[in-house]
Amino acid sequence: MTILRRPSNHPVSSIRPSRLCAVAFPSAVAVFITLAVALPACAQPQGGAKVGEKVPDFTLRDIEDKEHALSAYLAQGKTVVLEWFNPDCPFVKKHHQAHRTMTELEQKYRSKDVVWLALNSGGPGKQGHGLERNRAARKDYAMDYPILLDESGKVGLAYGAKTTPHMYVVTPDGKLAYQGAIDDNASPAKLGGTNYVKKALEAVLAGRAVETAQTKPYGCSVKYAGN
Amino acid sequence: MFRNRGPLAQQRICDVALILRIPPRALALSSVIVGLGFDALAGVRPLELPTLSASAPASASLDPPESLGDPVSPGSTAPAAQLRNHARARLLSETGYLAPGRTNWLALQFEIDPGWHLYWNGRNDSGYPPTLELALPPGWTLGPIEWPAPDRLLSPGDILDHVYSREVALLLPLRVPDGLTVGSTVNLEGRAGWLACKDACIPESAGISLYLPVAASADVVRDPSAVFERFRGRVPSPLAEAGGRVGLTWASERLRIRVPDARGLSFFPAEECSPLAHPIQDTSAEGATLTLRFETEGVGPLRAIGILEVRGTDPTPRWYALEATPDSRAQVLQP
Repeated sequence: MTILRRPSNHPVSSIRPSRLCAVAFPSAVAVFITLAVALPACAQPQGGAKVGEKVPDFTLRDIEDKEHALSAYLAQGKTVVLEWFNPDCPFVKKHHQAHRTMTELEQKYRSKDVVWLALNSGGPGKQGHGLERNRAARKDYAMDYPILLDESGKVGLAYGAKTTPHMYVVTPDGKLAYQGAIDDNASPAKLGGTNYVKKALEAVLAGRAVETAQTKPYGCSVKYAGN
Repeated sequence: MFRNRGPLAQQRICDVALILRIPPRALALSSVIVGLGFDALAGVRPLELPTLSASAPASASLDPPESLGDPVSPGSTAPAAQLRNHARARLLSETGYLAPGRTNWLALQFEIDPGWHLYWNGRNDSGYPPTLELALPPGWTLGPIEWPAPDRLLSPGDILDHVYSREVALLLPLRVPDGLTVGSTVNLEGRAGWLACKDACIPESAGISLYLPVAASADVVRDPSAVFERFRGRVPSPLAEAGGRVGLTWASERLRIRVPDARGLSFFPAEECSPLAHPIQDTSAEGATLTLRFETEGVGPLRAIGILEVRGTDPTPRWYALEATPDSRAQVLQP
């Protein structure tokens, strides 16, 4: 009954969560059965970056102090994948430790003019924040792509990033082709059968429309500053 | 005594299996194990089962185990692993007995460390709700789960979740067929999994077990720690029980909820609820009116589904299961 509020220093951008479309399907009857949650496409979430529209530009420094401007990549004709990241979140670890979802995809599409950027919008003192922590994680997780630090949370809020991971695929024209979950299994352990980012990249690179342009992201909440 | 639950109480998965601890010489049962919710249990081992045989008798006669144990068993053991978790899970029985041929109420109770929370099974921006796996023989059913009303939690970045802190008990109706031997004992075993969050989120799980003697329904022993009483009161009632106090009026994509004598209202959307255009601003207010504005693009028919919290002069709010569409008769029920 009590509404617990942690005051936020950030202006309320109209970030709205997407419709939940989770449905559980029982697997075959066996000694031990678990249920996977399928996350089919949902209605467009509101606020932040919207599929089909131009995304906000940003310039952020990575953990090696190198600057990255989204517009510069787009001007080079790159498709850009944004991966909201927190090295200590169990859902991020699912895709970087237990499995290598992100790095394998990045590697696969590197030669196809796809740039992959991890963004950490965790505030100071929050889980997974800081140069040292992210440098160590990049090494541990063998990530060949940059981790950008957004500790004020400005970029995360502009995109409406809610969870880690939360994925965005941006085409060279600056428009958002996909946003949401990396795959269709929202548990912290099991991989989904469908990787939405992979499908989006395939479609984008083939000049096709992205079939599932929008899903509800899952994971830990982004640890924005302001508590 | 037990309220008739509306659609909110209908869960996706209802069948849970029960493992009966059977001495090797006893009859074998075929059993089906189904998990509730999605697979959220990291590192869970398959439950060990007795040998399955093709033909299962309709009713099983159990030899009483060597040690009967306390009929009002507190539930799970507390292995060392549980102490590292940020919540302790127990399976409790309201009566301390299993009565054949009727509904027996169990509770999956979580005692949660201060500052940590678990998730409700409605719409949240992050996290996931607890899951329970049990094994049941044919004819036994568990569910639908009754979820108590959560607390609304708004975090920086406009992240809206609905959570449980300190304690929560999920109520589970267990239907047991006729034919169990009175005086025998049943051992319910399974595993609960959940996501515990504070600043960090940690997937946790624990084995749970409950020994229950089978008794005729005559003697009812109430759960002494009043877990059932406390949390049954937090399970939303059907809207009809508001006795006409709650007025619902649709105006195209807006639903106005009015409760004349309320001091404050909140709405917790269920997963199936149509998307809200302003999910933070519109879902909680002081006063007697709440107006939910729904998204109109690409959403299909509008359905307002969730929990309505009504705060008044009482220290405890009231909670109602809300389900309304623009087609349904405006539910301004006459007292």
